[in-house]
Amino acid sequence: MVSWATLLLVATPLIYLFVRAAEAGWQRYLSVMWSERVAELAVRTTGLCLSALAVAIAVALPSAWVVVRSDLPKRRLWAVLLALPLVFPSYVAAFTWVSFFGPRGYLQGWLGPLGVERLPEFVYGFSGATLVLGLFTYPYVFLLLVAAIRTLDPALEESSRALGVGRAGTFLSVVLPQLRPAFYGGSLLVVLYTLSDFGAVSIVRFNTFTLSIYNAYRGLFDRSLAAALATVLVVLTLAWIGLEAGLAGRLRPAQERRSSAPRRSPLGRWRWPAMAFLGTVVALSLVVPTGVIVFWGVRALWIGNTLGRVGLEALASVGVSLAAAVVAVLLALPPVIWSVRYPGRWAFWVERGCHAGYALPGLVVGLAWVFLATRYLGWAYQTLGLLVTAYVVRFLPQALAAGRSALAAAPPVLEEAARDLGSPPLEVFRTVTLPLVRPGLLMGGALVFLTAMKELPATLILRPSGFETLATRIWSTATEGIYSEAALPSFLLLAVSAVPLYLLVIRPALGERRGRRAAIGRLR
Amino acid sequence: MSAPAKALLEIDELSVRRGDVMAVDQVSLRVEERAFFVLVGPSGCGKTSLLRAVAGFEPPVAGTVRLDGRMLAGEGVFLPPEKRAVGMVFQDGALFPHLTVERNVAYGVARRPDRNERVGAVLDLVGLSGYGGRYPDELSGGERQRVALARALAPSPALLLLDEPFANLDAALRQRVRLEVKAILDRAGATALLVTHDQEEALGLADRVAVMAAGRILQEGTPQEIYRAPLSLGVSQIVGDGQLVECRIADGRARHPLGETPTTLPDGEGRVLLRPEQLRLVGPGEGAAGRVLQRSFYGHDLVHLVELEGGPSLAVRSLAGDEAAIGERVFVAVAPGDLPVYPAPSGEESAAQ
Repeated sequence: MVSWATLLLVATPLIYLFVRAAEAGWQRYLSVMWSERVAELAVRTTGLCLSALAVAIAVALPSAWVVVRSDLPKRRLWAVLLALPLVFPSYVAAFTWVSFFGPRGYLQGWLGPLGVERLPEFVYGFSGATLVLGLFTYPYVFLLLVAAIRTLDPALEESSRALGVGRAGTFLSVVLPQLRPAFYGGSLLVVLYTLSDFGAVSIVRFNTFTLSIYNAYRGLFDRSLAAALATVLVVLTLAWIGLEAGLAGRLRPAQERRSSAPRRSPLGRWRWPAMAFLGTVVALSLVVPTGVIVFWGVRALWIGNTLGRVGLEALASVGVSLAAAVVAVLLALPPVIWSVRYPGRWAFWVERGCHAGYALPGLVVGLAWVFLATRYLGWAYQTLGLLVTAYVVRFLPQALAAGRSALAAAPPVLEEAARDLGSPPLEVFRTVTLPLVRPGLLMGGALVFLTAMKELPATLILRPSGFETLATRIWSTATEGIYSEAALPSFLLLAVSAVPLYLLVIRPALGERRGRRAAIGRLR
Repeated sequence: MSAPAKALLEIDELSVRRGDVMAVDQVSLRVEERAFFVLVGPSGCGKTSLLRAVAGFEPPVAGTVRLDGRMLAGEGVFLPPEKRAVGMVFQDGALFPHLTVERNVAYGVARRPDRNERVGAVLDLVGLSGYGGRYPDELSGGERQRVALARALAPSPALLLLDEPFANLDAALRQRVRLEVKAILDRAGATALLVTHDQEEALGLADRVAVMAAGRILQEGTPQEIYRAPLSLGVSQIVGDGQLVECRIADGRARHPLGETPTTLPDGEGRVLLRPEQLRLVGPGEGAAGRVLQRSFYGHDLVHLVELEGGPSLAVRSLAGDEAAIGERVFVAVAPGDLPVYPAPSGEESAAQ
């Protein structure tokens, strides 16, 4: 029954969001819906999703192919470098890009002596949002493609060649169709990321749903408008998820096959162009942000900024994120145990329902809790408890997935064996179940912790006044253009999250066999 | 058999390198038109590398491959697989999972005007007309292999290569699919080169067999020749469940625990090949005495493992009904006829076994 409570926690704010949107009256709601503004936002947001996706695929497909199937030197190193941009939150990526490629950014500074007075403003607006979101989300597609290309059955390509079809024809008619699951899965991740992104679009000033909702709520104090827009964003998100599910549902399962090492073909004269391409990608999405953060960070320390205040913000981030991690893991357990050990229709749908947070932009989750709290839970409004609750709702799916694989590590037959050997149930739980399940649960907690550390929009809306996390500090200084002040908290945030992200997600996703599937599930 | 057919596939002094090893080491081979040629050998013997070199997936380091007089590889030529007109059937069929049976089969004839008739004809040939709309995951293992065969046959390749096509089928199905495939290839009039590690498959299917080990061909001949008279110890161990028994050679006769057999080998230590079906349990007075150690019942026949008194243990195959209890004292005799005799392996050779 605790499972239903978890579901209630996830579903209530979402339902209330629609109630709240309807409250201002259907007339008002419909007039907002049918306004040109909403149509324009839908076009802008969808357009951004598609263009960011195009950039992500254009980068990810050739990179993944070269890394797996060619004789490129140092393939493993390249693979890690290409996956690493995953560690930058969108707002960090955006502000480092603006400070580097901005009209009077670093690049202009270097080009100044050559007579370049101003760079074109491509880093703002649609082009900027496209490049930042595409170049920092492509690792999702890249990691899925690397895994898919590795497991391609070489006999399929050879069959095609033996049937008289050349290299290019084989790639188009046999290889690409086998990669569809990876494309669909990766594309959905990129699109959901883009739909829910608030940090990057607010810094490069491209108006999408998230930014409009935030402005309606913060700037215009028009909560009905914010709620109405949020419902559209939810519907748009669900539409994308439905589209992916529809496409993926039509795929035929691949035949089981023996494992064999992928065949690598020599790059030949393409060697240098390939290295140049990969080098450019790594420069844009890894070297630029790292360089900017290190440069500004060192300079900030040099001119006497202390770590004192940033340290407090780091502590605040760690505190709320840790709380969210613990609560999420505890709340995830009942529905997971129910659906794994006692599968059935209800168990299935309750667990499914708990995944809702994954589909909801953080801003929407935050907003929903604000509405609910201001109306019914006044005592909770602007408390850390509410912030932690929102985190839990948003990141519960990660804890659920980890719980699921953790429980799979402890099949009931082991408990039965222990009972059979004469241990009472509690003893069995302590000596058999818990040790087997613990690593998986810790992993789930760690993932919730890492993503909560980076969370921005819900934090902005729900935090008690005066409460700053690393994320809010970076965002507020970056939007004011004080990059030197954004660099130190960025540095701390990356210092805390980069290594665990590499160990928990990137390394196993690039690794062989066993851990890969689980790691790819963790990309979410 | 008709008059000697011409050699369709000619392989001369072919060598293929895999890493540091010569997977195929100066192999020469002729496959005649309409023949079913089987290459048999243990895994890692180079048979698959040889097949892949013929298909165009592995460039040879030396030697030539000619098909119907046309140079496929060697003398500076290396045709890519799609230009060779060689069909290939893979171990698991390698059907394209995203295409229906019909579109799988049509894949190699997509540009031909008569593609629909051709697809219909080969599906008919393999007995799967009416399966055109199904997807590979909706087929059984045997059906999948027949579709793979139809797909490879559709472009009417000059030569069909089969890479362990029955290895992943379960035992009961394997026998049936083998016979079906053989019949289909006969009907299609195709020339086939099949590789397998399964000697039963090799002997049962082939018109001609080549036994391969460590990159070289040890013996080539009809299945009967290979089974009855393996040229060397190596071949005798790859083909048939032969048991090698020590013997003493003197004056052109090899003396073994069950009797003697003529040989042309010089005097000294030797090995004689005894197959379980050449041995039988006989009444007292005949043959050599021994004690039954184990008994395995196979339905149509059974095998006794008999430890000869003061000698080796031998497997003896006999018909059901002709049984002895474990521990019973029995007599073993060998059927009349000459037996293959080999010189005793030198230290080096036996270490390699």
